[in-house]
Amino acid sequence: MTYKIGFPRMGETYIGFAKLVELFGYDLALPDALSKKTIRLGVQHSPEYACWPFKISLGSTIEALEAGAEVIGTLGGSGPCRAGWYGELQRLILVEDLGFDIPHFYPMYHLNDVFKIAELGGTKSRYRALKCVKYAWDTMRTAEYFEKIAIKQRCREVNIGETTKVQNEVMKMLTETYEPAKLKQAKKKGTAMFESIETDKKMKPLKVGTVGEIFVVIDPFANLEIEKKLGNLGIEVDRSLYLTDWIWRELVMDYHPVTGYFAKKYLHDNAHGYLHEPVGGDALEGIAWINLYKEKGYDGVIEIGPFTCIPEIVTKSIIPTMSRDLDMPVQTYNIDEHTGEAGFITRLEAFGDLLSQRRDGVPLPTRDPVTGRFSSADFGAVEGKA
Amino acid sequence: MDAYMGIDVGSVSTNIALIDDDNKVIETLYIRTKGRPIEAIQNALQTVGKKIDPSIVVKGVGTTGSARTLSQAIVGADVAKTEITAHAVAASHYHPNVRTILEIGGQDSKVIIMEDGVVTDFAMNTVCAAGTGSFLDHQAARLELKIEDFGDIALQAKARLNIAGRCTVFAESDMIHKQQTGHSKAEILRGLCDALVRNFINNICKGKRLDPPIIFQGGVAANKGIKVAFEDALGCEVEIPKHYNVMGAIGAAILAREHMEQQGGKTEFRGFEVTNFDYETKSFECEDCSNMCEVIKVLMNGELIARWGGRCGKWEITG
Repeated sequence: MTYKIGFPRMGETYIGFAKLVELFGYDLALPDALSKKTIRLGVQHSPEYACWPFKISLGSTIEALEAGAEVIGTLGGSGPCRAGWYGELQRLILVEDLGFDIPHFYPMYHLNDVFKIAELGGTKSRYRALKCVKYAWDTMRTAEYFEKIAIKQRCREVNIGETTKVQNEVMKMLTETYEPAKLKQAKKKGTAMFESIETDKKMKPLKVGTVGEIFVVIDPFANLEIEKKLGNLGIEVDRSLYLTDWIWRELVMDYHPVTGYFAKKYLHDNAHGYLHEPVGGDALEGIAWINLYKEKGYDGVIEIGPFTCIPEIVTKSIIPTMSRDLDMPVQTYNIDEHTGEAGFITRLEAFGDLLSQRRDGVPLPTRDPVTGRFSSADFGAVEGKA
Repeated sequence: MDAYMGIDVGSVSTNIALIDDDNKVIETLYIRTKGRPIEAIQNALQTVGKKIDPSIVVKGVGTTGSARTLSQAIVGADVAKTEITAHAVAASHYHPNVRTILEIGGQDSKVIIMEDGVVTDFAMNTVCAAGTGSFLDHQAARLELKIEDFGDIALQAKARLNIAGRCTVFAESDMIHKQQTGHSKAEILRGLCDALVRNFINNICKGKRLDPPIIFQGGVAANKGIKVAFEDALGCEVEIPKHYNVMGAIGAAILAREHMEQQGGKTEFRGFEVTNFDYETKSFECEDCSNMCEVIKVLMNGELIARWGGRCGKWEITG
């Protein structure tokens, strides 16, 4: 028989995971895109003090179960951050509190967990399973490659909203691709689609890098679409963390101490003087990347962390010193269910003004970060579209 | 005479400032928003329109405050900037050497660090409104005092009292406890001022260096008790500018002037007549996906002039 499998969503990574389990031989019970409903479910059934990624992923897992999932693959961890136990805690909540019947629940700690899922789905051969993994990996890399282009290019677009439209189209194209040769074509086609967007080539936008906890850095729903908002304000964005980079470094290379040492060397080198040990979560990465962004000539850095996330609190307490030493403005956002969007937008806009005044002596042109509209003159254009 | 207008619509107050070509203040107005920003803007504009010399021509308008988008749509403003930028611009204009700006308003409090007239860092309260004007208002009402008398009474205190200021809920129960054990009203108010300042420095400034000259602005700057508590805690003088309660509006006006001088062209300002227009906002919950965004429409004389609030952007204009 064919099992139905589900997993919580995180940004665009679901495209790769969906590919993986479909190739293993499962039917897909994909939860809906993260929404207010996800939050409602997650918050209702989570401990009050659990962090934002826990609540969102629990909500999303419940939505997968509602969609008929019999097998759940979910997040495990490797670091000493409490997220390493989230899978186990969620299993307890789902099975014992909510009474879901989940015979197959796999938090991902290890490559062996992937093989277990492959076997259950009907892919007994490890060689075949690895081939599926390779294809899913490439899909995920391609999705990340497109995201990278989008956040870099959005600030330059002439017709506001076009980048987002193209991004949605290319992601849809990836979900419909199943063969390595077609994937290569899709990558080429997607790149061409981004290139065909009309952009302001002369523009010299401000550049901002984002660092912080992986879930809230990667997932646009969890971070209130910070990358899109910055892009709409006319700021080029770069993300320090992508899931494949993290998996490669923390789960694959770290399998052996020697390879692990070399994979993480650049982080230790760049964080040197501020943080000498990994303290869990993505604190070391964050500190190292603030330094790297300074070297790359970025104008500012934004640290995003879930409210109550200890590693991010450590990062936050190191930032004032780093910011002074490097002469680099850094803003911290702690995100939670209660984060009001109005205050969030105010701080984003003010940060943009700060960077612009530092570099050019004037604040940014007035734009609405949600829509990218320029001035009140634009408001008139909606007439008749009620 | 040419003038530039700044409108600051915050949670508690709506302020207007008119400045001339040299950034000199011609007229200011401070009224309460009372939860109805559109009416507040209309009332404020009407009052200002009547008060000023008819020869004054408004050459540019800037809006700021949490309702800046709404007010921009209603009055037809040329720029809409955040409170942080506006406050910094205004403060550095009147005090070019300022290093630290403390601003406490109705619902939020911020600290802005400046160097050579440029903002280098800022912070704003996030999840909690502890220590903002609204809480002081609420406590004054509970003790049946006028908020205007708060500071003077606090300064009469002879002894220092320790009130837990981390959270307003704890602060209130602590105050009630102290009051029931027999402490005077003045001591409790003084303790509250100290607690609020302590909370501000620990929670918002968080390790930032607060160098003098320090400027304290926003509605709460009227409270002498808070000013003295800041001076005690920081060990230096804290200045309060003349127009402390409308600094945001002044900043917005300066930004509008700079914008118009740079861009040239005509202002978008609809004129003081907007007070005669009939504005209405309508909201609906979009049911096309599970996000269920609350979309807001602004109608002027029954005609749609603005719409926002959707995540996907389909209710907004895309160009």
